[in-house]
Amino acid sequence: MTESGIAAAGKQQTPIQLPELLILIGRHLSQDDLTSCVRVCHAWHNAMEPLLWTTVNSCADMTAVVNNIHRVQSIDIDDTSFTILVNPLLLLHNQLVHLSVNQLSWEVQQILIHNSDSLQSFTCRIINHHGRPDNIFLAIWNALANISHLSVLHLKMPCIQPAHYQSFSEICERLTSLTLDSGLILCRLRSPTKQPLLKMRRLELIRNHASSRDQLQFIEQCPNLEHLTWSLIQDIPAQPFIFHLSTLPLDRPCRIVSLDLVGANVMDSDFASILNCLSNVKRVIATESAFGEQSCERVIVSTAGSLEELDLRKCLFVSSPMIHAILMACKNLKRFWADDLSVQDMIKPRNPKDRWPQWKYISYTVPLDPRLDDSIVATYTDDWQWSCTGLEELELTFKELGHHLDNSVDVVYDQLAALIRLKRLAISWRSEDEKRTIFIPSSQPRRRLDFLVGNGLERLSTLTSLRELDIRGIDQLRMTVKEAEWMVEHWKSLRIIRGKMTVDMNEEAMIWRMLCASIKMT
Amino acid sequence: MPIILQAYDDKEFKVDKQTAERSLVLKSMIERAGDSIAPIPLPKLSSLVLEKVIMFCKHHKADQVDKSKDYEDILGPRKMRNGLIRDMDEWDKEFIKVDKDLLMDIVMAANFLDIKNLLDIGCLAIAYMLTGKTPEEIRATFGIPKDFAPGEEERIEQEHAWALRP
Repeated sequence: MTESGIAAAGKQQTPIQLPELLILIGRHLSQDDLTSCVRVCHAWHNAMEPLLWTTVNSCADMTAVVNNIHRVQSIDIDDTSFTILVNPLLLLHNQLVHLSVNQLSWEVQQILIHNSDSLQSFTCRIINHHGRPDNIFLAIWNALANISHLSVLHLKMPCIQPAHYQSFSEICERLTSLTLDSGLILCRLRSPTKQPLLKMRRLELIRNHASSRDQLQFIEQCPNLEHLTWSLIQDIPAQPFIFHLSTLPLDRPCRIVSLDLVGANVMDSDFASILNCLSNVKRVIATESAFGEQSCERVIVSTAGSLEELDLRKCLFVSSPMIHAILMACKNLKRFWADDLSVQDMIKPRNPKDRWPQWKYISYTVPLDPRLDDSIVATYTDDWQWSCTGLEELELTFKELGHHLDNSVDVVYDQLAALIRLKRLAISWRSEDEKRTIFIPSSQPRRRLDFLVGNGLERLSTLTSLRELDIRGIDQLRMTVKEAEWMVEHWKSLRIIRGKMTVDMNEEAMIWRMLCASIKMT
Repeated sequence: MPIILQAYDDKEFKVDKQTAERSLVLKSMIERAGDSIAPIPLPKLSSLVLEKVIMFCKHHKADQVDKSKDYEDILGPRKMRNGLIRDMDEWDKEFIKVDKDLLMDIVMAANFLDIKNLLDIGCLAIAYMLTGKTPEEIRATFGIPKDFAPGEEERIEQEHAWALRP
């Protein structure tokens, strides 16, 4: 631009009026948000609609995809869509950046070759070995090795034979992210040169048929890992793994911020030692593991400040007080999943020292000084609420709701109402839980966590960011049109409701008519 | 030799060459003018905006010049899930925490002076304001009139239902 160009000041414009800037803005948005933006006005639609076609999935209208094929950069399709799109796709040259398909075929191999200068990631969901000639796998590995910018590779059920090994180790040197899921690995994973894979930042080794020692050596070969998912058919070699994590050179401390050990066969004490090595960890997925008391202590003592995501579903040794203690201590949690939280643990005890099971977990975070004990207890009882007020996703099963005729339902509502950033809320409780106590004589009708206006739902009007409500875990709900109206009015961001809002068929039809314009129900 | 930049209210700002050259427009002007460069008038920019822009350029003056290609690599597949694709570093995040009108002006200035990095974080900040909003909320926030014919918005919504997260 010239000096006179600068001087030629026109009328004051803003970025949201200029198509070229709308495109730059749109490039930062998710598909969900783009679908809203294209509905703002004609100018926005014209500028941003093409961006929607750069990322295409199987749900799109395939005729429209064919018409927009010159815009497609990222494609994630199933077999049916692939059959329709295969010919247009074969005409593309160095345009695709991300390709995700269900199965390998010679056409896929051709597409890989045609886009070898542009592709950055490749995903294949099922690699079916039956009835396929062996040479197709070799051809695919060779095609992948020729993709110069390949950085993300995700393969389910791959087969790595000695003949593929050369290509495989070449590919690994370029990758920043590798997923091998249920693979059959018939050669060593670690490269013979033992050169460290410096680029590798995300590694997912999921239930592969390969020796655990070999997998550990491969992990050891990646010194800059940030995300590690490791689940094995056999036991995790815990001691060597801990040894590796704790002996990384000092100038290269463990960078792992995300650890996923789903179903890991590793003892609670070993899990705790692993967590102890990861001082900056943000994400811990411990589903179906032996995560227990010692791990919980580690989470609260060393990661309470950094942890953003924790999944404790289906963990046999996770108790309700532990869950409550974690929610009280980890103030930066954004996503949390767990089963069975007893509401009794959420209610402020009258005499804190009497029954306060979570005290023993929380107490790790404060210097132990017996003289101060009472005042610390007092501090924490004042602060009985969860500290993670930035929580965006929460999944919990509440237990012992209304076991006593107390304010337990209100406690739950009040606690949830404080989580004003929540985007997804999945709540369950079981009515059997109630049945067990039904014989306790009571004069008042029992209050349930039933999401009814007048019974407490209105307390949740603070959840204005809520996008998804999942109530599949609650049976026998009896919501009405009144609740549906309330949700539309107060939860402006709500888009999806999962589960049955009412057992009454007529009411359900009415709710559906009321909500179907703005909210998806599944 | 310092470069002098004049905002539209005639306020002058002295900046060093390296800072000014974060703007590709200024860079080419400096190169053409050589040593005898006169004060550069920027009549589109208020001193408030210019001050912010200079602050950004000063902080980033030692950066590698063109990061835009790296961004391309980092962007990756557009996430089907919610949330923005890329996070900013802490300084930039603090820098861009300004009110909506100033943000708009900064982005316009970055576009007009061709400062890639600033344009990028400015657009990211605007994108952040759009996330999770309905079309109606976006129109209200930015004062955009709805110019669709009746039923047109619904038709567009139908057309792109596939792109929504399942």
